Amino acid sequence: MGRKITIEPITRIEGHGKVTVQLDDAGRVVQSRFHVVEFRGFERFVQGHPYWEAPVLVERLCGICPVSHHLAAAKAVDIIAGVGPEGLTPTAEKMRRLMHYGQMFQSHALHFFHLASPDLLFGADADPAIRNVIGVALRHKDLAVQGVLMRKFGQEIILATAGKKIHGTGAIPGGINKNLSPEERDSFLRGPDPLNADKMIAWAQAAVDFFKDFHKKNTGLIDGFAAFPSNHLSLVREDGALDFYHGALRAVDADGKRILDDVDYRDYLDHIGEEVRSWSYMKFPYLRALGKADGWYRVGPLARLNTCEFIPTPLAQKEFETYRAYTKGKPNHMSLHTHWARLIELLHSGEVIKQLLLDPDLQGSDLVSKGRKAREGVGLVEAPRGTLFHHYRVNADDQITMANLIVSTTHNNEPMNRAVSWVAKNVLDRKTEITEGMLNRVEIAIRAYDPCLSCATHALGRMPLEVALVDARGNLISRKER
Amino acid sequence: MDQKKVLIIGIGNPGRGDDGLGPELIERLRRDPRTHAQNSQTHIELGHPNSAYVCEFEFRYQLNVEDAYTIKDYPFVIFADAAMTGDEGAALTEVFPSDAIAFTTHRMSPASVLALCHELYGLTPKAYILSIRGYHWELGEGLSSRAEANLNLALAIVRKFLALN
Repeated sequence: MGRKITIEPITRIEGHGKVTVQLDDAGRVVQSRFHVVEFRGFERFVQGHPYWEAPVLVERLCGICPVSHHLAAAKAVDIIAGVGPEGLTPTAEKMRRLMHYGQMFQSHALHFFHLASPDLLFGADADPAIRNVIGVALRHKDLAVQGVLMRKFGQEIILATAGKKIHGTGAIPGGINKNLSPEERDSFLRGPDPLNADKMIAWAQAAVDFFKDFHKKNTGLIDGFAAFPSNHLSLVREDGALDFYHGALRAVDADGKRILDDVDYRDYLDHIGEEVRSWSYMKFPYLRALGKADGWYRVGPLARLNTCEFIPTPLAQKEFETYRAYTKGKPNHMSLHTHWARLIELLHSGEVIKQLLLDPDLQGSDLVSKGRKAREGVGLVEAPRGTLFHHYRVNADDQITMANLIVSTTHNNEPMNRAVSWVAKNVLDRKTEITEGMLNRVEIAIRAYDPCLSCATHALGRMPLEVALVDARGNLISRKER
Repeated sequence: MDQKKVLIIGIGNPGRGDDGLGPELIERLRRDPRTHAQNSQTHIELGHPNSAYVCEFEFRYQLNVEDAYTIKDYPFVIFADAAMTGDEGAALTEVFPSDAIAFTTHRMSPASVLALCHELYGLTPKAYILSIRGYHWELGEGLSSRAEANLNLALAIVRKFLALN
């Protein structure tokens, strides 16, 4: 009788997920899936609301990455309000950038120090009782303390720019509703150690060094684990630099050849399709140029460092050169190298935060632009987890009539499934005993993508946790719910 | 005046019906006429002429690792959150540090936050969970009428607790 192994829930990723592995009678993996079962419907919920509410309403999607949604929605409603991306005042754009890079900083710090580091520090076979953030605090206190304070620093940046740590109202159609006071600026630049920009940059550099050192000692694991070629997609600045807030859409194939050559992201529907599969409420985006079967792609730190040509801050650029040299300039397809890429982005975010804090435009008083209204707007940002699209249409009464969101975790739906399949075939295949460590390796593969499942099905919901065991013929043998 | 310091954290999403019970509790406490600001601090008067609590309020969608830092300097912490199951009404229960970490750090439990605070800073506030029963969790703002009644019970529980401790 075949066995289906279900890992439920997946530890240490935002939201909830279910992994199902089906074995045949000989213990061979016949199928593996990573799926989300709850339907959400936030895109319908926002319909009928005035468009200017979108940047605040969409923050209800997620308490983990609300700033990303806030800014992507703001960029979309800017266009509806008649202000194109280049039409923001310097103060408005730079305040939004500071908000965004603050979000990136705290999100990346949280992920590495408290989601990924337990696996790296203790190993996939360690007792689950210590393979968590409390275990990190017990055995590697300095790292845990740094992670908490880096997250706090980023949250304080968000508070100063958005007005609130969660569900801020900073970005409004055509601009921003506050600038950064000199006192706020100085609190971040010259705050008491360690809560200042220079210390944050130093800790981020130390985190990159930590990973490089870990990589040297565990090269086989880091390089070989869930490594598979793919296409990659992200924003890039017009000069090819890494940019999280604005740019053009670029996609490259597994060899680095351009599939999308810096296209306007407002035309995303011409380039990206979304496939629905019966067994998941999360969609499967694909590049239309390559079709459904071959058009899937990765987004997020690994993808961004594959599509950009350089990083416009000195310390992160130096690390980027080391990182790129490792694959001799070719795209990096190694899932666990996402952690390396994420830490380089953490360092870059810290450097950008300091650069922006030193820019007097943040104290400007010209906050909002106006223009001729439109009936449709698309906004795109690079969220911590990857590319995030917001698209709205409005009627003559300014009410939202259509909303389409493609969130980072949805873009990575197929890559995460591929990662699960890799682990299933390489770790679970023909094993007579399934250990905790084997199951954790499946989760390690998914955690590299840092999925936020609250966003991926477009609302906040409590997902029922189900474990289902079926035989090779699909007959239910056993089922449990949490 | 004899003053004690308490942090009340309202946990939940106000955009999902009764999940907003925690945040609404702290809003009601803020707006209560017996709550007043003095010297940049919020004081809740309890009817004792020589006693008051200095209260600070925080709103969270969910607890996370940095809340170990948030709570470390308070002798008392109350975590107020909606409950999907369990007894009707509202209940205040003491909570202790536990290293039985929740399966995801999307939502750290109060016990895990206390454990992390203890490990990182050597501090353990006296802490309580104020559990308020809710019923409706769909997208949308506003509490159900039953949840509203439970919220009033919870407010009374908070005041009585602060008066007795």
